[in-house]
Amino acid sequence: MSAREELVRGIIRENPTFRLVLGICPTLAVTTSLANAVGMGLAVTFVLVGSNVFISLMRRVIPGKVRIPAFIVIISTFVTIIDLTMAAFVPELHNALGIFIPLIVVNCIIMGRAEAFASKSPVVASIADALGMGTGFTLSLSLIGSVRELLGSGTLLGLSVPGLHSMPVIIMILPPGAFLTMGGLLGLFNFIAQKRGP
Amino acid sequence: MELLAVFFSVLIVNNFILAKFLGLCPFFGVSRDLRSAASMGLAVTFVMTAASAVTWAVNDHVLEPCGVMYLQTIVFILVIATLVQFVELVIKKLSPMLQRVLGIYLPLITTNCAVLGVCLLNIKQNMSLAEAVVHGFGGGLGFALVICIMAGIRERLQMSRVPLAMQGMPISFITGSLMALAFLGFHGLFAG
Amino acid sequence: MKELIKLSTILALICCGAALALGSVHELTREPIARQQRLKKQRAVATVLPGVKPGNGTEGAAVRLCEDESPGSCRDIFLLAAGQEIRGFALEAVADGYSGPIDLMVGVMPDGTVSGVKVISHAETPGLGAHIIETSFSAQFSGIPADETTLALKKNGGVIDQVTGATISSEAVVRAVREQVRFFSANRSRIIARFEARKQ
Repeated sequence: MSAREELVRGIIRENPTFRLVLGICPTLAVTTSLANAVGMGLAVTFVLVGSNVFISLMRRVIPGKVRIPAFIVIISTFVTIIDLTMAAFVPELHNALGIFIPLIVVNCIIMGRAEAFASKSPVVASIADALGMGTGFTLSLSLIGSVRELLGSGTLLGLSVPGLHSMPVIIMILPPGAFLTMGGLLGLFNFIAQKRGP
Repeated sequence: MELLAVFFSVLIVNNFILAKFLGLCPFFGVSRDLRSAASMGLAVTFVMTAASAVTWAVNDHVLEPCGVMYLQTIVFILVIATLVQFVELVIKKLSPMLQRVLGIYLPLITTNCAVLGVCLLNIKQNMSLAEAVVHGFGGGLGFALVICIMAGIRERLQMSRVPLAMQGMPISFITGSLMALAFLGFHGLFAG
Repeated sequence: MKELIKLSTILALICCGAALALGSVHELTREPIARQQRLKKQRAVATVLPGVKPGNGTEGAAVRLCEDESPGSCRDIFLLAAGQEIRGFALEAVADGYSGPIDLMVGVMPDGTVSGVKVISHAETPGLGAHIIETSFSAQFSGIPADETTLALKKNGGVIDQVTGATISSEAVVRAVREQVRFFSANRSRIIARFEARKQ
């Protein structure tokens, strides 16, 4: 599979959120606004690319028996890097995402890709895979974040949307709304995939 | 009394799954039948309680005195992974019965965000050791409670006519949404 | 045995590499992070003591005063003065909110009147308690005299309108502001003396 195909795969056919249903915790927690959703998506993409690159580079050096602890150390190093960087340069986003930044380390997407792909593939392919999954994740989060922010606060990226702003459905930015949006969108994408045929 | 407030608050008001969005992967992955849900809930409660205590101690005696708070994430996750391995070994040696019930779920718990989440929250909210342990215990029980309710509902759902596109994950999420809505009713209890 | 050594060495090397990377990033980001914290406080102080812009020579010193031996009785207090004239004080407070601690900055005039309140950070429910951060709520505190009956929610006989549907969050803020005012009145002379001592 060419690098370009790897990239696209992560966005549509194997979209981590709507097809693989991975990394749900941050997906529901930080999508109260589009800005937060994009921020989280970019942070996760950074960690994905970083860890995929290093794990791929070291794939012949890391012994199979200790690969999980090794992966954990590498992934959490990148998570801490992005955590400190965000605290220094985008403190408001850092505050909004809260504990979900350090929780990126247990995001099943990252460990999953490391185990299933980066540890067995050359660097360029791993980068493409990481970018694809990361982009897919960011796009999914943006979709959910947009829906929740539009319906729940009547704004988008903080700007009021006339019509929606006067009747916000607060439940959408509360937990039930998160589950509801996810369930609805999952059903929608399932429906589309079924129509397309196997 | 304050410990009781922490306990009940995290059990139902600030439930880890339905209010804090922690522990969602197993919530949807292991709730297909009541038996496995209960086993997972038990295992998670145990690990969350133990991890809360151990990570609190590590933070208090190692991270803070050395001024390396930025290593919290990496140290905590390694501690949790080690703890889980250790618990697995102990259970295998001491209790074959427990091994049968909890065995396959323990390795999955390392990547459960509820465990790392509660350890980080304990520090963030400046809890004492006692509060941290109660927080972990209550959080785990809250997780167990909700995952069992979900399993019960999903068992019934299997006999209902669900539209094809909604079968499996989508309808589970909608179920979760209704549960979260119900739990919102506890808003305001045990606060202030 | 040999394999064990090999495995451990490789893991140890990876950990060293990680530690090196993290240590460097930490050093690089330490100053920016500290600067962000300082800026946040300065902005909060400026908000609660209106009419005084930070950076025009009047931003004040900060002292830490403890009322007594109990933990939690210490405050960080900022002074704003123009030349010899004391314009006001800003006290940092932490309120017990519904979903966690609420960081506040409370401004008091030399006579004890509240000059302003700013919610710096909180973890309250979005759409409900989170509204405490808005000016429509915090502006109500400006100009309230330092007496217990006025400085309360309307439903308790005071003048503050609570945030709709968020009694607990609103009450937490009111309580914290009251506490700061009380702290200030009780320790006013000590506070001023501390600042005088710092000037020398």
